[in-house]
Amino acid sequence: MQLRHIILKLIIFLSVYYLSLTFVAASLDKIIDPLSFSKLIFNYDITPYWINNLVALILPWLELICGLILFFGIFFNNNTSKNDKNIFFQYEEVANNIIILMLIWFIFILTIATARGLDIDCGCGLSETKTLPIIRLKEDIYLLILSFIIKFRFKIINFFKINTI
Amino acid sequence: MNFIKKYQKYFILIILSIIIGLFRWVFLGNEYTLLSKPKIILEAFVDFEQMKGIVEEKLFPIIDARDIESFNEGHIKNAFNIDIDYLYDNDEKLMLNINNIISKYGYLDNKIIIEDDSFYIRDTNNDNQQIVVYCWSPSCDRAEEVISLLLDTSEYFGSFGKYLSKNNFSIYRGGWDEWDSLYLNKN
Repeated sequence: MQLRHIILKLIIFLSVYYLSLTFVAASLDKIIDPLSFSKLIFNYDITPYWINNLVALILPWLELICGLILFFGIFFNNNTSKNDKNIFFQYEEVANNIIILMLIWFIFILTIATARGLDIDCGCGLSETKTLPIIRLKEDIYLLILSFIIKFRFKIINFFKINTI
Repeated sequence: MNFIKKYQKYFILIILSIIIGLFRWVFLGNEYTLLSKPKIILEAFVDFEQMKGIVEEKLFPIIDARDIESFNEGHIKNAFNIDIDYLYDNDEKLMLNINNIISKYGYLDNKIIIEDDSFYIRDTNNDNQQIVVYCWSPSCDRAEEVISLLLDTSEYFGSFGKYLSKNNFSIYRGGWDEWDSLYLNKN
């Protein structure tokens, strides 16, 4: 096995591992205490108040489900190429796409919060202490890059002319 | 149909999240309302501990009834200033503040109901929050004065009187003096 093959496989595995566990871990607090999460969404002052409670109930579960599918998908997925699609690969792809959409939305609202100079706890990520939106914005951009690496992994492999992963 | 078929797996994951989320809601109790803010009833007067919760949780709009100079020197976090002198002058910025409170906190859908020569305000969606007003200290009566002017139905002092009644207001009697000594010195 070529060295670059191993390195590329490792990068993709770590991307999946890090992204999925981040989403799973970040969702747990919100699932346990949706009321606090709803108040944090309210602080952004970007969505109508009637939607905050609903989002605070559903979004953490979506994060958890997508994170778990992504995490277990890589262990159950024996694909050799994008054309060889089994059910695990399909759901893994869907979960990753939903994660990309969520990250784009998070980046959008964090950018607005940063531009407006809001001194609020962003209510996201793994930190138990107050995290400012600007710090979380950087983290979300890194996570978005990881999710794009996962999404386009077959193209990356082809680019480096490696046939299997 | 093709659209649904194409994005079937997306719908499955989203619907699954909605079902589990709603199932979780069943166990959350009455304080977690789905499409409106939790309804918290405040008494006519709030004490320091209640005020602390209101400020930290950003539960209700807060009005500072002191003069603008004192407000600029220091005020309770997120409070709007309504200086009675500027209110008499029909100050443009102040009127904007008042209209912001009405629109931001959802009072616009309130309806005036007239029955037997008297009228009352009905909170149509049951989504309104109490407004808390404070002044310097218990001996200061500017809070009461601001409330009565705001509720003037002539709309000369803004359109509060059109959407709110006296029951929508609570007064933090301790005022800025108590807040400054108890809260700001501790934090």
